[in-house]
Amino acid sequence: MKPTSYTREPAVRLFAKELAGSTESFKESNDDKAPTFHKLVTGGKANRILISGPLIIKEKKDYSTPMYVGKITDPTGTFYVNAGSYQPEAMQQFAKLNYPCFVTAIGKINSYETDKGNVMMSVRLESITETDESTVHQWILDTADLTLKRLEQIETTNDTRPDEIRLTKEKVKVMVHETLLKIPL
Amino acid sequence: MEILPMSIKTISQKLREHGITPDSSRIESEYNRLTKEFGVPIKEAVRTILDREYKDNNITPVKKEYIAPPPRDNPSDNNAPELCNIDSLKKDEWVSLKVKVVSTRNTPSSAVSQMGIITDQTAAIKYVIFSKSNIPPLEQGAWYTIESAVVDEYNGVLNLKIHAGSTVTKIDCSDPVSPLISPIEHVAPGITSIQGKVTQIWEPFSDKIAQTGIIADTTGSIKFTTWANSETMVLEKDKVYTIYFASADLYKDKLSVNISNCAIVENDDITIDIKSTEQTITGAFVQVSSGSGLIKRCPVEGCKRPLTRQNFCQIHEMQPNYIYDLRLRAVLDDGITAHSVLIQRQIFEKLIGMTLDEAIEIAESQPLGMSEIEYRITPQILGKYITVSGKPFEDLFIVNSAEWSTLDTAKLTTLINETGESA
Repeated sequence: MKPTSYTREPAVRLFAKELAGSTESFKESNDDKAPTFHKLVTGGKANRILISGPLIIKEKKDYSTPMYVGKITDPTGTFYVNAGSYQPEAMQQFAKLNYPCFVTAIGKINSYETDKGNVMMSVRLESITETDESTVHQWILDTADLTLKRLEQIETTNDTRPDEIRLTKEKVKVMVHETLLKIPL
Repeated sequence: MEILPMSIKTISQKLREHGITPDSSRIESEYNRLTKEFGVPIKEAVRTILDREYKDNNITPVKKEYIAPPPRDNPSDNNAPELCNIDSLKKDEWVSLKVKVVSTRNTPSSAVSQMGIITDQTAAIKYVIFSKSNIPPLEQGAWYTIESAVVDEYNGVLNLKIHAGSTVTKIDCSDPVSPLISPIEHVAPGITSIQGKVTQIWEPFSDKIAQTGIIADTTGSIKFTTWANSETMVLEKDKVYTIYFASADLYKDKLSVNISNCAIVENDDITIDIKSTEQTITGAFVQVSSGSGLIKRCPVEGCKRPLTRQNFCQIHEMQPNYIYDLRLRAVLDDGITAHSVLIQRQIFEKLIGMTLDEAIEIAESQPLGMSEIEYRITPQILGKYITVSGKPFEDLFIVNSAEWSTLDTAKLTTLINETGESA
């Protein structure tokens, strides 16, 4: 049997608030290397994401192998990002950054359960590089657009629990609206 | 929008012939699963899907088996055979037709005495006369009645077999035939007439080919080929032609038209504006792939393959007199799909603001050498938004023009208004 052709997972655009609520993860196949997806609040799924915003905290953790952790914010909340020795390129890029600065980061969603049973969402970085404010504004607009497009999809494909969906849609629209107002015209 | 492979269309067409409404999304996913996931050959995949569909719909397809010819009419009988139209022929039927011979050609096989194309008012079809039949070759331009010929199918295309049991009679007829010109988008395997503009002429890769290129109309484009042993007029780029009774064939799931020996008319009074087949992607760079920046290419004429660090070409081995080039291979992600894109030197220089000469100078003065260029451009482009136009080629998107994006304020205003209303 021929191996399946590999398709790179797209970098989904979502705001920090949506990521925080998208705690449910799943795999589409039993294959060892099958990607892990998280079910998104606005419908759809995400494995890899693209973030653009200010890096406000950078910390080097000296575990048995070093690891960099940081916080990138967007108008809705905070992304917790990290890069360890399994991501050597991202770690080097991370090490070079002087925060606070605007960054663009690409990585995969990772979730873990705390001792208290809360699910924490973080992003394991593939790359993190300094960027300019204009790119951050473009990312916000792009993310708003794609988030709204996902919302439209729910409408057409899933009509179970209509009340809950209506509520989600209203909430997300308000969030997107407020976020967009943060971009100076 | 993704274009359906021809074989999926063939499946749907066959199902319709049996009165089944095809479930195209199911067929498409099954086809993709078979061909892409399991690497099943296209023909086998088509057969598997058809067999399954026939089974699901309780249809027993007609197997290719000997069908007894209808009892031959006693020659003294006067009842004329019922004539069929070419467009209503079905596989394995015994038919009688009244046709005009459009083109003829000799065949390499001794079992076949003549091949060619015949037409009536409805459509055109290829015919084959078997040597054993002792039927004299048909004359181009003449009308005939052909009785008791058999409709056969090869590669999904019908043809007419004229054999020892067939009767061919030349008749007096001067009816004009006006072939239907098919939009290129709707060209299906078989005999077709098209009108379009030659948009590209390629260097033939074989001595057997006289000319090959692309002809396009407003609906689409298709590859055309003229074989070297034919007497076909040579087409010129950017001119409009009408090509009558060309044969469209499917090869490796791609359609092309063979225009050898076709009647071709140049239409210098017609202009066709070809819509651009370019696609546009707007997205952010999410990865700079290896082999980006400054590279060395093989200097052998027509090769240009990138060399390894040791100046090794896969084909031409060691090449110390390499040529430098700049390129960017990257993943451009629009949030829905990750596209592999290739940006060549001229666009690279414009986008990155680094010329080939500057890149060479950096590479030769830095300890990291050529890799230095890749290290420098990576942070410069990661996460940046860009709009590129170009054409997909296999898994790669070849960029013909590119521009860094700026904030789309019109879109911002629209989205603010849209989300504000319902809030």
